[in-house]
Amino acid sequence: MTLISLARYSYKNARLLLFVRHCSEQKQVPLEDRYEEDIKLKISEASLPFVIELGWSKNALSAGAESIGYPGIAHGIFANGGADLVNYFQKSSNSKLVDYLKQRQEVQSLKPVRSRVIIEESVRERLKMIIPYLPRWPQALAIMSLPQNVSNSLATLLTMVDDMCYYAGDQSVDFNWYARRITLAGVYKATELYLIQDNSANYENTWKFLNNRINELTQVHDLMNKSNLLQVESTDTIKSAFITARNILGLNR
Amino acid sequence: MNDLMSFGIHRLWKDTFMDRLGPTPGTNLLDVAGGTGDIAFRYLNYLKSDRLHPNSHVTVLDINTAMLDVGQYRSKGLGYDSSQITFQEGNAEELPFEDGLFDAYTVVFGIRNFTHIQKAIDEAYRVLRPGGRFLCMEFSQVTDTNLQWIYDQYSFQVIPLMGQLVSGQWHPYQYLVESIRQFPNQDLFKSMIEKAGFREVIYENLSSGIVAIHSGFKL
Repeated sequence: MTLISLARYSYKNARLLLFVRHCSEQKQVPLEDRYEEDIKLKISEASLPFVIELGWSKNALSAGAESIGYPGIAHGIFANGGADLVNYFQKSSNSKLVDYLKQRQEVQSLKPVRSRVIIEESVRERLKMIIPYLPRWPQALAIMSLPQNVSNSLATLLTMVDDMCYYAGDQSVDFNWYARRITLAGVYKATELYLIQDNSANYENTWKFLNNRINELTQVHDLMNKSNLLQVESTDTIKSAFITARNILGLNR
Repeated sequence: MNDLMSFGIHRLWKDTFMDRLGPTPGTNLLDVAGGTGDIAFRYLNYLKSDRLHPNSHVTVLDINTAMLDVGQYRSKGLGYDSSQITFQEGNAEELPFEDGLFDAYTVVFGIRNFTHIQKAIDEAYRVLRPGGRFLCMEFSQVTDTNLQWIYDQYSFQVIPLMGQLVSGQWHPYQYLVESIRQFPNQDLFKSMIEKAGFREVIYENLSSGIVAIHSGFKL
């Protein structure tokens, strides 16, 4: 009984999310509000080339603002300084990833591959985006893990894994929905940590590490499916953790 | 007298203010009603660590020449010259500058005394260049009801008396506390700044709203 209601609940939740996704793609922001947002985006974009030299900092934002003709003091628009810049980078990288995934989806319809392949490719594609900033990436990770920034960085991480799963064809509405996203987030963060210490040519070791983790994930997943290891208690825990996290982030509004 | 009345906290407020401004090398600042140079010297000091950029400059504007004299005297003592700081007499409601000249406009504990506050904010908007920042610190409305009572007692019972005892003047200090009560509250003042055309307008309360820092950008 509980199992059925749980499944139903998850189903509703997942449907809601699909609906939200649909809406957010169509959302039209009033022109007036976009004006300020556009300027912020422009300054952020212009600041990225200064990150290697100046770090994820107010200084990089000042330099970026100056490079497009605003006074350096305009960095004050970004109340959280470097954290806002990191957040911008994460968000814009995520939307680049979605573009990539959409293209990938078209290829997929012509020449289908297993979804684990798509997942692995998309994680790699996303990680490649941070390579230009690798020397400064540990600083970004540190900024993202500051208490005041955790909610934002978790939200961008969740959105990212959600996009990956969605475009890899995960239309599941059962509790796997939660489990898959949480484990994928784990794999992503682990590989990211591996990447910042990787000295191998073309980051071969990182991609090997990623491949191993994805293999493990598939094995565990298969095992769970076969042996019915997925007990109600454990899924309950995972599910509630996920819902709580989303609530904290205000994503369930 | 400022130190005595605020127990020295006004220095901390001003330091916080400069931290919020976060001036960058090359910033051209206009400090209005800043005759004695409290903000101007903090600004120059803030940029000192970056070795003063040739374009870093602060213009101190005040309607009161006696105040400007104090600032000029202190400036000489600190070893600054006119390439870094200039003092000018003028009215904040009709700024004697061309459009889009400054990167930042600051007014600290001054705007309360202007006759036409809205006009002064409009002028600030005019002399700032796009991307420039308006930053204002002023006494505001206390948000904590318990503190409110203590603050009121202190303002009306203690401050004028202090003024009488220390500087022999009751009325200027009576005016001080009354003008604080009459100044628009945080949200009203915020809407005035927005009315002038500034965007991204926010405010921050210090010491439970005894003072508030309002910030806006000309975008």
